Amino acid sequence: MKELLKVENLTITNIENKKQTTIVENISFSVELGKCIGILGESGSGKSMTCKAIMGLLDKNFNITGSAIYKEKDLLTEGKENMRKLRGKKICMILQNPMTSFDPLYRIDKQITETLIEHTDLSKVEISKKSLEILEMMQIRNPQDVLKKYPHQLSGGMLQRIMIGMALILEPDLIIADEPTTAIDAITQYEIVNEFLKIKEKNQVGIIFISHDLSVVSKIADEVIVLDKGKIVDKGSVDYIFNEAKNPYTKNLIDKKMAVMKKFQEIIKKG
Amino acid sequence: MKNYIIKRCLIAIPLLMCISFFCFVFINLIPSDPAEVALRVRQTPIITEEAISQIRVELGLNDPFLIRYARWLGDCLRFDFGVSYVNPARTVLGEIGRCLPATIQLAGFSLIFVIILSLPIGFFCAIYKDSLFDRIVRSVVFMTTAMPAYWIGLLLMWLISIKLDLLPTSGNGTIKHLILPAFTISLTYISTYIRLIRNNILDNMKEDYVLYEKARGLKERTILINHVLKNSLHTCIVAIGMSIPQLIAGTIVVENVFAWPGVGKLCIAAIFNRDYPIIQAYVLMIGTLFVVFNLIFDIIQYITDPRLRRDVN
Amino acid sequence: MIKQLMKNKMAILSFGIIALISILGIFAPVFAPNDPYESNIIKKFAAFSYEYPLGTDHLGRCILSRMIYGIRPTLFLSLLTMLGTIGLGAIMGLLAGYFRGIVDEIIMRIVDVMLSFPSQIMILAVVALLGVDIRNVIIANIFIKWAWYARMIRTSVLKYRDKNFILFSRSIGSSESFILIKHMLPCIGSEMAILATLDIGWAILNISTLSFLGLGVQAPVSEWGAMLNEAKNVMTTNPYQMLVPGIAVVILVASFNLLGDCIRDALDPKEAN
Repeated sequence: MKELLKVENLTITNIENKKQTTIVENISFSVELGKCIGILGESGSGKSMTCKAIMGLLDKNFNITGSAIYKEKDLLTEGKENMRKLRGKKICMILQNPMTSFDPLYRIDKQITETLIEHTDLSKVEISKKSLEILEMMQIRNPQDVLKKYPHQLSGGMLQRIMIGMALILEPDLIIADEPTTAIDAITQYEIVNEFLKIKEKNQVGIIFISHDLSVVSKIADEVIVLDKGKIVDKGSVDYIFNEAKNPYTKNLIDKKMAVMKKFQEIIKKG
Repeated sequence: MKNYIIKRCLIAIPLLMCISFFCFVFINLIPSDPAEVALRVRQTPIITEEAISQIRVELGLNDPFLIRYARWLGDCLRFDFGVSYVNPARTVLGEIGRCLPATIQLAGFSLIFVIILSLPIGFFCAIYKDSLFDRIVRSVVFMTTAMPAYWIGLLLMWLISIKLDLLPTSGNGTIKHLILPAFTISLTYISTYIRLIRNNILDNMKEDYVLYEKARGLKERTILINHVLKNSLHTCIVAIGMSIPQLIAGTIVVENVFAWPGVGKLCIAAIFNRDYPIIQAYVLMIGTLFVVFNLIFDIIQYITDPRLRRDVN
Repeated sequence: MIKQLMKNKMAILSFGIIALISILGIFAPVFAPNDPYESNIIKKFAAFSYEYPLGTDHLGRCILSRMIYGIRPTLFLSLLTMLGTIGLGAIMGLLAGYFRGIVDEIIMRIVDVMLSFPSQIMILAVVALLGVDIRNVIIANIFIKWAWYARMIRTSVLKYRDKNFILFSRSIGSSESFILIKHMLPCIGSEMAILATLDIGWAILNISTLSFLGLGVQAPVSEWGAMLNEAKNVMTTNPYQMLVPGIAVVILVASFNLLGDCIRDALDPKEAN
């Protein structure tokens, strides 16, 4: 399968306030077209930072070394303008907190239109058509009404789906999903995970899926890397990580989760 | 939302009562006897004990405190503030009415200065954070907070009127006369607002939606102007609105420096002349303005705050 | 905390300036070259010279001497005002925050009312009532401004009130006043220090403004604001008379503000390691 993105020896240091703190160290992984790589780790392990660095969203307070090769270009050294053109069109990101990721002062249709105007030459009519397409693709009912609403009038799950739709509409090569299910309730989580599975099947995209939730990662990812305090402690297929992982941190993570699940199932069986 | 508005209005009423009470207590604590003053006003040649007690009955000065307060309040609501102690031919209302337009003119112009200077400067300081421009502005702002308003006025007067002879030093009449005093007043407040706007914009730039907009590939300028600025504007407008009564109160000193014929100058003269009705009316007016403006802008802030809409739903 | 402050160059600089000015003020007779009240009309508006390092004013008095003697009213009166305001505010804030209940309600309602009104105007009104005199200015300041400090201190007290060591102290039977003095005061002490430094600046500006308007210190006392009032009339002939006290006020107030900012930064938990 074609290798979409190859990250090698990515190291990020925070150089604010004349103090140097290493955020991530020597991260290497690759993403293939049509496959999903899961990045697993607890809060503060550097998962989001890695992806923000790849997309060029870190400011001058951070020093980044290493390489992230995408289509023969090193994303880490590309100019700001070039990166901006890639973002939202070829490389799309889905953020963690849908409730706060939309500007509260603008309606949904305006925010979708903004993105489309920036990356395409479509006319107004075509843009409205595309906006409806996004919502229909995500199986949102009454798309006309939803478009006219403000973000605070919609639920988290719906906003998350709109975000996913906006990420897909321009047919990107790479989607980075940063904990898309964390801020959502369990039932909607299930629906969102299904959306991602559908995306993997239908569209030819590579997905980087960041989460601290093992069950979600196990369903979506083909390959998993485990991060702890900025370093990769384990790498392998989902089966390997869950059943055969030798690294103590990984084992601890899996065991803890398994224990919770077992207990939960016991309680359900009893009751 | 309506509940909030009603609640706020209800709270304002006791506050207004308090300030009117304070003013009434004030006039009752003054050393001069209102009965004597009244006699002087009527130009009674000889002031005897009987005349004084007669006047006291006539003016109702022997009535209980609360009744006198209620009567005084009634007079105030009819805009009858009595006559000046010093110049009985003039009513307090007349005096204040004569001087008020000049003060409002000055305060209005200062407000314009504050808005056109603090908004752009604050904005650019935030965007170019820690640049040379930002650091220079921050130092200047720091210095101006340490400068007394009257000294700024004197300094500007000396530099611009006397040394450079660009603008007149005092008096009023044309726009030229207005520039220096208005600029002086605005300088004392601009520093606060530049800091406020800068911090507000910096906070807004850290918000999630800014990150998402960057991730969608929107242009930096679009993000700043259409989104960050628009979100900050709300706070800025409310803050500036709440400062309007401060600007009016702040004219006292500047009117003194530039001999601007406004209510501030009137009040200072009244303090020296012990013309208590005028001082009382001035305090009442400013206090009321304060409460009313804070009320209006509190409500405006509540209605226009986008985040509050979320809680409502 | 003091150690951290010592590392900060700005803090040392501002503290140094304040200390220097204070010493000049306390030992004014030693440092001033001439008698500040001695007027010599013939020598008015003299240029800088050895005898009159900053020249003379419109009455022929030595400006430098007036400045140095002027430190006393300017700085020490403001200090007095600040102590009174913060003292009263601290007592009310402590009582309100510590005892809660009806005491808290009453005090806070009064504070709310007082904070709704412009302090400058109220101070003016109180001065007008009591008469034009510097003592009345100080009383007016304390009477009006305590509310602001009471609120801030109450917030701090509420933060520390339910901490374990206070509960422990209460449970072993310490008296309320003991707890208030021995435990609460040191807790809020640092926040009070910030408020105090920032407030002295405000007090200096306020007193000098009122003196400038003629409502505070009376002539011929050489308070810096009063000096500026006199300088106003002779601006064209002798600008130095206006520049010197003004610059001095700015330096003094700026030093206090800077020191306050440095203390605040030193206490900021984000900066602490």
